[in-house]
Amino acid sequence: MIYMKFPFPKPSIALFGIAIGLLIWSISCNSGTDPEIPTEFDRAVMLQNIGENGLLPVHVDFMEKSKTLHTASRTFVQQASQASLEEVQQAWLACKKSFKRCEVYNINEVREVFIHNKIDKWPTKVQFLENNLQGIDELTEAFVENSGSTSKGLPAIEYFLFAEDALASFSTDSLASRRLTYLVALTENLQNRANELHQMWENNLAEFSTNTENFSKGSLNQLVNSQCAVLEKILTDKLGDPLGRDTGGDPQPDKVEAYLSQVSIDLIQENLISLKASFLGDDSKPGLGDLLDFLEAKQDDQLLSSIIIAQMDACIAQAALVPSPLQETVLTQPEVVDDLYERVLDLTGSIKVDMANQLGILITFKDTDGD
Amino acid sequence: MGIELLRKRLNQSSEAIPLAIFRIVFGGIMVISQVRFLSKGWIEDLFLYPSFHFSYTGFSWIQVLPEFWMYGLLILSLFSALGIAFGLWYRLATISFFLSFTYLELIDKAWYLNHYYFVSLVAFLLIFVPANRMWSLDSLRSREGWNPFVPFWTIAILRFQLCVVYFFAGIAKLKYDWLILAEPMKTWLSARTDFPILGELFDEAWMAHAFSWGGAIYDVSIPIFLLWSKSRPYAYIAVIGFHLMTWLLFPIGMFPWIMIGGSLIFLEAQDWRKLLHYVRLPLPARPRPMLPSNSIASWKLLLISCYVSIQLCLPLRHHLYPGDVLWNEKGLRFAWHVMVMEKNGMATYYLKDLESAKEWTIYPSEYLIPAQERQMSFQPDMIHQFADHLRQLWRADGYEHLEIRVENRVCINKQCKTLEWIEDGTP
Repeated sequence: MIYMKFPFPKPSIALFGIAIGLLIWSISCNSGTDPEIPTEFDRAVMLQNIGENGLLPVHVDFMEKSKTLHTASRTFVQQASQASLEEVQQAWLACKKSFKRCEVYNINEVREVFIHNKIDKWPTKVQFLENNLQGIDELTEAFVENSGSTSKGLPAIEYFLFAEDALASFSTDSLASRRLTYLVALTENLQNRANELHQMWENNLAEFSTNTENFSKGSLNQLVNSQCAVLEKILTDKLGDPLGRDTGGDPQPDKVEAYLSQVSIDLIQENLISLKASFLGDDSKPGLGDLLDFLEAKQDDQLLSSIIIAQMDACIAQAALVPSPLQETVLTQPEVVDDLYERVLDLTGSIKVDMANQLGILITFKDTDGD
Repeated sequence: MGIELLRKRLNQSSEAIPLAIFRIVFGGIMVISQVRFLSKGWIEDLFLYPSFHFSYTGFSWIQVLPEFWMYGLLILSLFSALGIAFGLWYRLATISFFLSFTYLELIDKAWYLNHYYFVSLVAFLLIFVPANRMWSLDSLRSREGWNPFVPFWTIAILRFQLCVVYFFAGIAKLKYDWLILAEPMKTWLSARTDFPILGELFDEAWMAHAFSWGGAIYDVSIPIFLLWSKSRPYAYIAVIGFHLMTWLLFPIGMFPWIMIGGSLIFLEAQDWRKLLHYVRLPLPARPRPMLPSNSIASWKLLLISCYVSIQLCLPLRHHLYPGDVLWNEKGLRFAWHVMVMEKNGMATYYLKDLESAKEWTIYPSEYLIPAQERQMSFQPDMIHQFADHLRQLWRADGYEHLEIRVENRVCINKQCKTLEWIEDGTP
């Protein structure tokens, strides 16, 4: 009679009992945790650490460096000399390096308004710059602001500052005066964008720190995606193209990032250093590595965090071994650059695949469905 | 004798209310789904922007149409869904919805989702099911008015389809990773500690196990509880609770709503009467039973049997292939492996022209949009397909003898491997 009322036979009840037993066993199998690993992990604290100690300081620094660059360019305009040119070149270099540390934070609102493109979209369109120079438009900050991303920002300033006959072009050339005006307008615009970028992060830092959700708009999801984007840019544009990896092995030295200033490899190094900072934040506080440790993320019995940090260090060290300028090294010692490429590739795999898998990160900035 | 009973039962008159409600709800959800698709700009992002699409074997003739027609197709499916919901020109609406929706679905493997496949199947079934017999504009327009009866098979086939989804989704979860390691649930829950109230517990191992086991038990058993009249109300509450939870926790789009709406087919007419009585809404009185019907026609039974057999065999076909289906993905699609793994990958292509010894390193992100690259990087058939695409591109440049090597880093549920594929895509 019981069978009439309840549609399940006795064996299924027994199976259910076995299942419950298995469940308890499986949980108990997994309950042995490392005593050094904390039992709780606050992702908001981690994001706050990365935000306050990784993200915000680099944007403050970039803002200051852009101000210094603008000041230096104005000084140069008043007295164009080799010394003042070198001063403004150094200010540009410091500014460019500083921005390389910001690139890993191209996320959320910052990404949506394409402000990074307005600051550093390369290669610059030389023809546009020359046309503007030779044109009749008043070369003001407003003019620059209305120009496209490929004719302003750091690469455009580099084009004028690091030209072969830069000092002459600013002093004796028939367009010298206009070129000086353009330079100041470009640096002023850059300073404004740097201020805007900094302000954006001042406004959004709290949201960054508290947005612990794991959907595409979540801070962690965005950050890991941006880390991958920086690494992929190094692989494809900054190293791959100059090495000739997409041309059948014919090097393309003119494809390096900062061809005129010849600091390409330094910039890659800055990218890698900032990548590490975005992983660790302040090392004494919880960072991404600590989150991986908390999740007991391992590969081949080694902590994944240690593997990634070691790979980052190896990349930074290898970048230091690549002689500058990169455009010459890809011709004379391509094997050294190849080594760096392979190390960056390994690091990309560890972040994009291993770490993303451990954290349940969706490798895309955009909203998508799954099932 | 048994067959004869089955034939009679399948053709027996049944109240049309469940079918009519299913039609309205399904059509309504599809309208929302297509509006959502449109508003997210996915026609542009997923179809028009990519320069390459991963076509399905045998369906390479299904291509992206010019922009105007792609939008036209989506709008056609939207209006067809409206037609289904209102029961207006029903047969035409079901056919055009099935064709337009399925066309969009078949353009690119990268966009395969189990619930898109489910929608196509339901749309296909609706073509043959007279779900417009009541509460439809068609029945209002017809001289006979609405007909409160439909043959039982028309409801049963939709229930069967729902049961197939749940049951095989449950079977797919009966794996070591899911049950013993509680993966990928552990990964997913630990990433959602921001979830209100319960989130604090999501880092606990027992919670991941509870969710894993709960999910597997739910999937395997819910069809039985939905079919059993006594448990049905509680089972449907469980359906709502379960799918709402998945909607809140995971980015799975319309899937929860499709299943919540779809499961309404299990509710009988008398269930609706009881339910609407509570909220004081009128429902037509129980119609006088019709005379016992004839047996279902043999050709209809044959077609239904074919459909049922295909639906029962397709999800099991992966057993015919050696290896782990989660790794090789052979037979994974169209088999209701719903949310059974966290899988990530990265594929780097090394091309070598054997005549000139020239070498290229191809990073797929230069050719694919990120979402395509993500899907391709862990699905072996797509990795092979992209290699073929590169071969064609290089052949067009005069490189006939190309060796293609793919380095493929893949992680499934925290287990990682580096695979190497050469030439024909064999690891």
